[in-house]
Amino acid sequence: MNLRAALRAAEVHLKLQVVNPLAYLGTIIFPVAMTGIGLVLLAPGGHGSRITYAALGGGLVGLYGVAYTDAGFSINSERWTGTLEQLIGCPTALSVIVLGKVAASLLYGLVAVLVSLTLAFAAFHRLLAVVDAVPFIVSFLLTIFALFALCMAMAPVFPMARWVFTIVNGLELTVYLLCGFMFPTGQLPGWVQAISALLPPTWTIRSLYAATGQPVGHDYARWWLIAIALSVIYLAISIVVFRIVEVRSRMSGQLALA
Amino acid sequence: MMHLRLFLHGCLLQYRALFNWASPLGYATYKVLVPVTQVIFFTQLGIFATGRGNSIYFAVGNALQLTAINGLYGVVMTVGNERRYGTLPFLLASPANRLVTFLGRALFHILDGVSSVLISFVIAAVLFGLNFAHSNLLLLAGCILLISATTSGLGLMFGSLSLIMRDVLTIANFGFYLVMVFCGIDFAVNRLPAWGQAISFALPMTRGVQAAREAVNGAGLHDVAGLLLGEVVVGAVYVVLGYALFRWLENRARLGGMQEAY
Repeated sequence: MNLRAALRAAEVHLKLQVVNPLAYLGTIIFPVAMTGIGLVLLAPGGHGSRITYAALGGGLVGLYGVAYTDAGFSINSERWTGTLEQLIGCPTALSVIVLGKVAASLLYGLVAVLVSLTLAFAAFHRLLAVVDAVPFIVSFLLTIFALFALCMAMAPVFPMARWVFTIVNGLELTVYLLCGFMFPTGQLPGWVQAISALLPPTWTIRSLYAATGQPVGHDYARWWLIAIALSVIYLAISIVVFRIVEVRSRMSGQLALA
Repeated sequence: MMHLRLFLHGCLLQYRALFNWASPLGYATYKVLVPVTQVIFFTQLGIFATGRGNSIYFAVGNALQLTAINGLYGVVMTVGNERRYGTLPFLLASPANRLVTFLGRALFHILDGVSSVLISFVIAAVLFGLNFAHSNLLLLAGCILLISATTSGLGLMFGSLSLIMRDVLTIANFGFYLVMVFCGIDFAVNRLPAWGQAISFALPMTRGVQAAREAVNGAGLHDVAGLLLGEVVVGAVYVVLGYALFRWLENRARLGGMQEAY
């Protein structure tokens, strides 16, 4: 029953996004802007191999941006349209519905990666240099899983109060910064790297760039294991926090006023 | 005097209404968090691409670009939300002076935009060693105020468009990415192709950012007068275009009773 509810939530969410101009902005315009800036900066000066950070990084930024914004914005939209109370009140757990929404967002967010790679090829005549195909594919799939876990962990805070979205929206660039979406985390200060290490996408993105020949090491197995372990922890935290938020909302009856 | 007081009070209310749902903590966090993350992210990207020696270039550019958060998001939403929350018919039916009402939507956002730049400069000074010892501070302050005002001019024009387009956020986001890519924030405008440079010089902020960079390096007013004049002209063009569009749409809506029909 939960699977069916999640699938229906994903289906409805996808249909809503087809007619939502903001979704096109996130999957096309935003990755184009980020990839474009990255390519202009990284293309000259003999940094040929670094182009990957723009060509792939711009797309990953778009992918996460779409999934993360949708996770939060869709809950805020439910609030604005007066359907959040019904979602909390229905027998299906809120986490199941949000799971469907986030999964759907990640699915259509993949368009951002394609847009980014197309821009790199069409405008800058750059191709992604995949050195190790298998690690690349595994790393990419794990990146999607890690982003899913991160979005699910952040999603429960959105129903708490209207203003939460404002704060968490400001954290979007922080994730790009900490996880090394467009440059290696190795150039960040040590204490920042310690925080980066707690985020699952940091490890999968590192392995993704390693598979394209970037000099960040080749310790794939360890990186993947850490990413999987962290993702599972994030998902477990997410389930607990979702439950707390649901119980609290039902007890206080002040969801619309939060 | 009373008119001025009413005007300022109206401007303040419009500004506060935009953040009516935010707690003081939420507003303060957003006010600090966004500048910090934007400046650090793009400066780190710049360091990765060009080396640590160029970090100031990226920090200054991105600090100045933050005026677009107020000038575009803030102003566009202040205008566009009238329709979203059903107050547009009341506004259009009121006898208030249209030009004052229109320009009043930008006033506090211009000042707030300046404060974002100042916060970012502090961050850039602490983290990347931005040094104002040789800067022309008065000129720099003028440049920041001008950039904030001209970007709000673009915001007013996009805001008018939001009267006939449903999705206010899409318009604001599009404008934000436009200035981020084309206005010489992370790389010099001459790195863009010819068509990109044409867009660049048709946008506010391009000349202002260039002038502000020179002011940081100690240039005098006579060195950047041409750039500043160009920035004023571009900003004024957008305000006039936006106001003309606002009035045209208002008249059209009045004739057909279609204030909220788009």
